Amino acid sequence: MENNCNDMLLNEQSVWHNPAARYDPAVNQYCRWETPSPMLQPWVYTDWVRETLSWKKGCYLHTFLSGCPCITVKGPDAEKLLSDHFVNGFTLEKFPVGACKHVIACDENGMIYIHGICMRVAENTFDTYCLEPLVPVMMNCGKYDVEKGMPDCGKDFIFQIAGPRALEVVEHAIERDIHDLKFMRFCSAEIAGCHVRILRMGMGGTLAYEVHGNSENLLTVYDKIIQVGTTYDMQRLGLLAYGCNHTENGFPQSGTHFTCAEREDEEFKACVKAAHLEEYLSEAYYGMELPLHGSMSDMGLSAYYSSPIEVGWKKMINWDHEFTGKAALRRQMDDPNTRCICTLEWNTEDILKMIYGYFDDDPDVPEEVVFPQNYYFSAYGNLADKVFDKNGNLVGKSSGFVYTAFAKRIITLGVISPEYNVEGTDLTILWGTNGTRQFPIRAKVARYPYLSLTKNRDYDMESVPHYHKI
Amino acid sequence: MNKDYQTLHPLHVEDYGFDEMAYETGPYVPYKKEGAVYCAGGFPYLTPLWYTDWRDETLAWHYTCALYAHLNPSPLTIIRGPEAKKFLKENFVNNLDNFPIGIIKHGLICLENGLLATHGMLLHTAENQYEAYWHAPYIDYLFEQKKYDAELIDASERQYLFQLQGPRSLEIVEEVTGENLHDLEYRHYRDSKIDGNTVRILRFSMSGALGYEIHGEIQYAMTVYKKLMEIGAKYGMRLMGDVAYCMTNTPAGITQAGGDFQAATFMDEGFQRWKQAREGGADDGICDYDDMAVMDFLGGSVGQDISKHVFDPFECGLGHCVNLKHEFRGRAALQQRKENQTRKLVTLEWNPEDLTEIYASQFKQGEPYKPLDYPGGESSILGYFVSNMDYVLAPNGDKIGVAFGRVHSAFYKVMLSMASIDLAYTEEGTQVHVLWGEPGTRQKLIRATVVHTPYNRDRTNDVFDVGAIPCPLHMKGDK
Repeated sequence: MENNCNDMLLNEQSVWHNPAARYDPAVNQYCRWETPSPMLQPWVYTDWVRETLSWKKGCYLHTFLSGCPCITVKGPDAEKLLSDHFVNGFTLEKFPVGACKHVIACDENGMIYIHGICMRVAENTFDTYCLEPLVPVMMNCGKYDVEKGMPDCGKDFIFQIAGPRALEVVEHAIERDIHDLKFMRFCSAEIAGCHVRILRMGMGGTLAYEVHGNSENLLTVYDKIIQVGTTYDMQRLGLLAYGCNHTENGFPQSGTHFTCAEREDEEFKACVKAAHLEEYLSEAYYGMELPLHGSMSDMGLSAYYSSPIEVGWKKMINWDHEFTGKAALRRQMDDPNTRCICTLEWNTEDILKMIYGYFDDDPDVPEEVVFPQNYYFSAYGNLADKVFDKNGNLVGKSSGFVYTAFAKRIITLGVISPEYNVEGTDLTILWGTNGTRQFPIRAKVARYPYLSLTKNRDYDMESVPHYHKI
Repeated sequence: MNKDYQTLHPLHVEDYGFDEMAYETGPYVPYKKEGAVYCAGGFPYLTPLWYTDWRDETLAWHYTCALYAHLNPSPLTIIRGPEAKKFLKENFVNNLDNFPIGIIKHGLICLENGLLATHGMLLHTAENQYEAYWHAPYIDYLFEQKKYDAELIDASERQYLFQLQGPRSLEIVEEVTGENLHDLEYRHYRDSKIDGNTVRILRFSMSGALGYEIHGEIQYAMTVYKKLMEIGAKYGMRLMGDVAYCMTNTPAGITQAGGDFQAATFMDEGFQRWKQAREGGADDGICDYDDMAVMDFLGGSVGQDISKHVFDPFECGLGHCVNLKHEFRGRAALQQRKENQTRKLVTLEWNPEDLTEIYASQFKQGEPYKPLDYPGGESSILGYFVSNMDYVLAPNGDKIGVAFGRVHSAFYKVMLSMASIDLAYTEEGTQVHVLWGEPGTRQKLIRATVVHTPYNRDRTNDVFDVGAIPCPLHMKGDK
């Protein structure tokens, strides 16, 4: 009997290996997801320390967003459809062709319901990613004069290249100079003869690009990027390391830092019915009720929601148009006590005291601090802990646990009362789900985002060597 | 976390896929639909590293029951014929004269030099018929060295092997078979039926907790597994991933060649030649994990000198299996090794302050110590077998032995190692040091105390009072 069944299971022709990367027999850890289609994704490529350091020193290639649902909104009412539901501005002036936006939709209470990426490819055409179920429901409900359609999870590939050397990799792959591509803009290019789109955006917290293209060409483009990447210290990023991006780089993320609110208003339900997409309302779509983790667990699911204002996205709100949740968001803007986002740097002594609790005489153990992120919980539910001031007043919540090997610290993102959002403020996080042995952990409000590299928007492009055909 | 253990992570069968076409996890176990993290490389199929989390799963064999099903296929060799016993006696160190049908022995095969080559369960199943688990392909090689009036059959891929361990395991096995098995003694087995198909129930466990194995024909593996999940859910059973499984044997004080240390088969030149010749030819169907048993990675402060990664049975706690009153392969060497034994197996409990310092180094600038990210069982996580061997030092700095990896027990709240050390230091309470970290990296001396072996002395399979366990079948009858 041969022991190489894995080669059969996981080669790139197989249905199991994520089609967005080549099978590498040296990779031994995979994560399985059922949606959008069953696939196995490398969990760790080499080791998570090396992979998480990649976006500080060289760069990374992350390919697993390729399976995310993409849908094109096209027609005379395309702009209106998006504008009615998303907080962002969609006029041609605010959102020209060739631009991409991080778009946010809220529920009636102004809590984040969905967020994702939208690109304007023509005046009346938008390519969107991860905006299920809102966009397909609105496209198919008959209210808007747009083409009907459903999201396609395999149509496009999305490769993320992030880190100080990302531009060199991209330019080398497309064989031309795109130093002038501005932040949140995209352009067309070719890689190994295949048409692609290059977007200047990403999750690396510094210079970062995405390469989008037709999935038919995925492996051709992948191979080319891997080949040129070797020159620029590029690491492939497994899912474990990818999950460390958002906290360190200050990108609040649904499923990590907050739970998405659900749209339960009658108007939305009527649209779902009209679109014949009832499956989007059923339990089958939202999945089982996920357990709540952390010391917030006694406060109910809605305590895990966040508003765009709380997580620092108020600049993305365009007040010159009507959209779902506008009134609630306006009230939050006017309320001086609306909470705001920060980084919380954990006190090492207290972490070690808690770790000592794994081995002490107390019959109970504290919940484990899993390095480099709490993957058990991110797979099963939501994790948020209470944050107190020095007098024991509840002042906010903390989520997105990450150990950063770069800074050698444990950090989380906090959503806290504004008077405490001053660097150096001492707060206390109560670690542990209610009913377990909880530990108070002192934490300091730290810079946000925590990563001190220059942001993508502010990057000095002339510090990067220009592409020269060799 | 312990109070509500029974109901904390209820098993939902609907979270798992039993699709016969979805062979990523093989024909033995279903796949978990969302969020499973798999290891590839250890076994021919992908195996989940955990189903809930390692703490939760390791607690199952203390509180309820843990079901482990990733040892599939298990190398299984049937030896039958008039000279079957003769062949076995010439090669196994055990006493096979006192071996009635229905008994499980821990069968050891050594090299001529007495080092442990391979070991596993040995069953006497019928007159002139035996079954050996995990001895292939070395047993096949030995069989070809001489002419015996017997035959060897590889049955590895004909059957499944499921392990249930924990105080509720008996009730689950009784419910799934519909048979009262209270009288099945430790290290005994007998046939039973599930859905009319014959299965074999063995009372045996790696963790030392009350435990049973179910062996049956491969085509029924999935249906039996599903049934075990459904019945087990009522008892708070957990499915066990590889990380937790690799932590079962240390608190039980059972060492494993190919798991904790290097099996010595690589030193047998004749076997190596035989293997090479085989590999050149057609697939002979022998279940072979031997390529993995030659450890892919030698870790720990002992370094890469493979001669420090092999042991004889007396040094690794398996001396009680050796019967010197018969002629067998390696007997002379073992006789000598027994008379000159210098080391024996102990369990070490690591000092929590020193452990905390290892964690602390990850929060300081400079090179951290070798991290303790995972609770133990590196073999399972990395997808290849690791022989992790750290020096054990006396207080004066003398090297007095080696420790086999380490395991964090969430139940006992300790970090434990099994270790083979000089006899002078084996008394309980003796203070020693473990040198943690590979040569050339930052190393740390960790204080450790010699403690009782096995560590889990309060709940062992051999003395478990099953009389106190209700029989679910009787309870049904009473209604």
